[in-house]
Amino acid sequence: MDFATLAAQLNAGTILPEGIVITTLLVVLVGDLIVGRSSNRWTPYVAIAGLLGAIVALYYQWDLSDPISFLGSFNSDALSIVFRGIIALSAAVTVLMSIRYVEQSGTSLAEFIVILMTATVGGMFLAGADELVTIYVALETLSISSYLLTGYMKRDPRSNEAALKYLLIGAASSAIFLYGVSLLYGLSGGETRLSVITTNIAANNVDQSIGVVIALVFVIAGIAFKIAAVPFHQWTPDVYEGSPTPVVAFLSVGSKAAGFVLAVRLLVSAFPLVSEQWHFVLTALALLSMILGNVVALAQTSMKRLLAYSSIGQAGFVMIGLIIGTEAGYASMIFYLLVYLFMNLGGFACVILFSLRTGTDEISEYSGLYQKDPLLTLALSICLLSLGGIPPLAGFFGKLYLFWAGWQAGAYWLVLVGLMTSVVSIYYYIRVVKMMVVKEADEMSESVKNYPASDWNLEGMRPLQVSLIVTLVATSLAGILSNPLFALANGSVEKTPLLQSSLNTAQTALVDQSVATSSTPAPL
Amino acid sequence: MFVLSGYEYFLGFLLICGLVPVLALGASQILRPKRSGVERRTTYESGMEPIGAAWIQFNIRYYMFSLVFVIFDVETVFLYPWAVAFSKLGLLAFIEALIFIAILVVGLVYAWRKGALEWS
Amino acid sequence: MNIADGVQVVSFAVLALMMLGAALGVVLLNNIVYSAFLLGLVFISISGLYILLNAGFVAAAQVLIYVGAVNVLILFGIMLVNKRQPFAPVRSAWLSKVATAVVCLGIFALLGTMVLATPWQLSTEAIAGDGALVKIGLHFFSDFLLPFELASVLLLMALIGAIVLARREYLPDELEEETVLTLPERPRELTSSGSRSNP
Repeated sequence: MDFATLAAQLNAGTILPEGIVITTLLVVLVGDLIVGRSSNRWTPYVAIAGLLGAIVALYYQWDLSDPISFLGSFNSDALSIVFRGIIALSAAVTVLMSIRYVEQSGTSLAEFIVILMTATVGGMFLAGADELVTIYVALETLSISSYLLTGYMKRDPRSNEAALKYLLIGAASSAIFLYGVSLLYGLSGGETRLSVITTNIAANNVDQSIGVVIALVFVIAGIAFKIAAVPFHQWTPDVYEGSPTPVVAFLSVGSKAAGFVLAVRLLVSAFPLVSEQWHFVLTALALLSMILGNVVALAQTSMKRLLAYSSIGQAGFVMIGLIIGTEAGYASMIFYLLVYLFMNLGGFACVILFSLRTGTDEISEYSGLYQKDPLLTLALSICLLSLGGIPPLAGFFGKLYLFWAGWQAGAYWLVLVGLMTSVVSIYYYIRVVKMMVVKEADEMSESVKNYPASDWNLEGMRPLQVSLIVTLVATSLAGILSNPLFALANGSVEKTPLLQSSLNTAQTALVDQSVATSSTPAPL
Repeated sequence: MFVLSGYEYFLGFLLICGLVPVLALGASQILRPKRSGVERRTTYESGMEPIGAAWIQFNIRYYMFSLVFVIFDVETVFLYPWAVAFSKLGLLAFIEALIFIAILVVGLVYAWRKGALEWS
Repeated sequence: MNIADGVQVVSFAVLALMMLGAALGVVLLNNIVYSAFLLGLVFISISGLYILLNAGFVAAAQVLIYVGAVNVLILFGIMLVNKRQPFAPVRSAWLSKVATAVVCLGIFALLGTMVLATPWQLSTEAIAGDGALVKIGLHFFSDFLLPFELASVLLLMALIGAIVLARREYLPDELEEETVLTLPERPRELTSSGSRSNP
């Protein structure tokens, strides 16, 4: 290794967005140390500025000629840029939502923001990590900060319980993931870069070995835990119910997006040799997630648990795009995640606002809310209907695109199950909307009867309102004015060499297959 | 194939260390008179009569200190190879290590300001 | 077999037996303090295995971090909790124990078969031995630079999180004035201990 020319080889400019986030994090931390608790007035805005600055920096990296940096550790391709943007944006909106919530719970805001931003950094590095060690360290940065955030309300026993459950299950799953990764390292003869692993495994003639399959299963177990796919979802309802609500918002969007990009990168680039197997496993996971997530959501009485199960179901929908593996499939997956970002965060902003004013998140307590707070009712209804996929909201177009891409690729069963479970999901989303809107004045719940007058001037309420309005507008307009988002999703797939090469090999394989046997059954 | 050097002495010491308690206890087992009585179970010559069980509740301060210790222990392990390979690394690695240390110094300042290093 | 190889085989056997016995003890013993101490023994045996594999630095790091810090932390964690409640005997507990044993043995058999059946690719490079430490240093600052720097952020956050969770919270008193808004999500039960500060 020549250390004189190392600086040029590192190509460190690609991690400028992460650098901005880390610097902001340190500024917030040191500012809080110097000024004390009164820094709460400006630290959240510094954090948001830093996160938005990171997004701007990402924008300027869109046409990067040489995305590989740190000698192959990090790959700042278009795919990673979109996902890093999603993660940073979800963190920025989460900061907006959390200001009032954290203040009111009597815990310190600056540390909360610092840990949240560390989780963001972990997720962003995970989105671009192209090497096993980087992947694992980034994954742990994301996970450990998530455990800390989950247990942040330490005087609330439910938060403690959630943190403990999350920690134990998360540690187990990350150990399993690490075992699978170590098998990959061994099978490829001591190689950690994802792009080289497959060639090495093929060159070493171990591609038919049971070891590759076991590595695949273990890696999928780790990833499925992050995206909360059934049957690795057991932690989700309890953790979502017990954690501070802004944290849940981040976990359900940012952390999940990081899990998806990890899935894409690892499965597509390191496991093409067992691609049939991983498609089969993921199909099973997607079917189970869609069915179980949406059916169990029907029986929930707590709003946060409802959203937890709904997010399990939504993960199932997104997995369709990953499984079919066509250009439209990847693009629809990214598009759906972009839309899901806004509608899910909007839903959680409403839940936070309601629980701040009434101190509860039971669904029955929402009854008659329309007469006391029309804005909140409107926002929550729009977000829930969008999650359910009612036209002309953003979620409808997201699902349409996903199902269309799935149908084109011949994944009929997945699409049919997706459609059916979407109908089921509409039922439970509408139930909440009906509860809020239709009820007469005498059917109002106790909490709504005592509902305080809307006072947006209290400290920290303004940002919450901003996040509510932003997500509301984005959810209602992203469907109709979806062209920029479509262009973004399609462009990111087109510009990513990894996905393009996998598409090419898939196409040649398909041609070979159709030449060999004309009557191959359509893939599930 | 075992190539590390210097472990012969380690092995020798390990054997000697293992033998010391075995020999001491074994010898006394053979040589000592075998009698039992109430006196024999009491604390020998000096020291207090033990009260209660050995399993007592520790102070949470110990926990805080060991938490902080774990973090800086890991940091030491990370920096040790840097120190050993320093002469081969050059200026760039020095800057990189400085970034590493700077980020952790912020952590140290944080711990200090929040009173995690004080025995109060 | 010359004497060096013989010593290695014997050391491996001793270490492996020590590790397996201690690990079984960690899982099976009822006294949690004994389990914690035995865990330390497991870590030490593993570091011995690392030495046999020519990884002296990893062995030292293992002893330094796991035995010296993590295990001590675990012990303190146990000693913090002064509740020694004997577990009520669960009816037909043997059933779940047998099921666990079957699952563990099944996984062990699967992984064992895999390890034996796979034609592992052994690296052809010369064993670094005593020079391994310098090599690790060079790797830290070239191709593993990014995880190395990210580890500092991870450690910083772990420190902050540990202090946030473990420090005694000063109870904020400015909360009292807010009567318009209630505290979010009261705990279901344990209201006395959970919401002492939030009337």
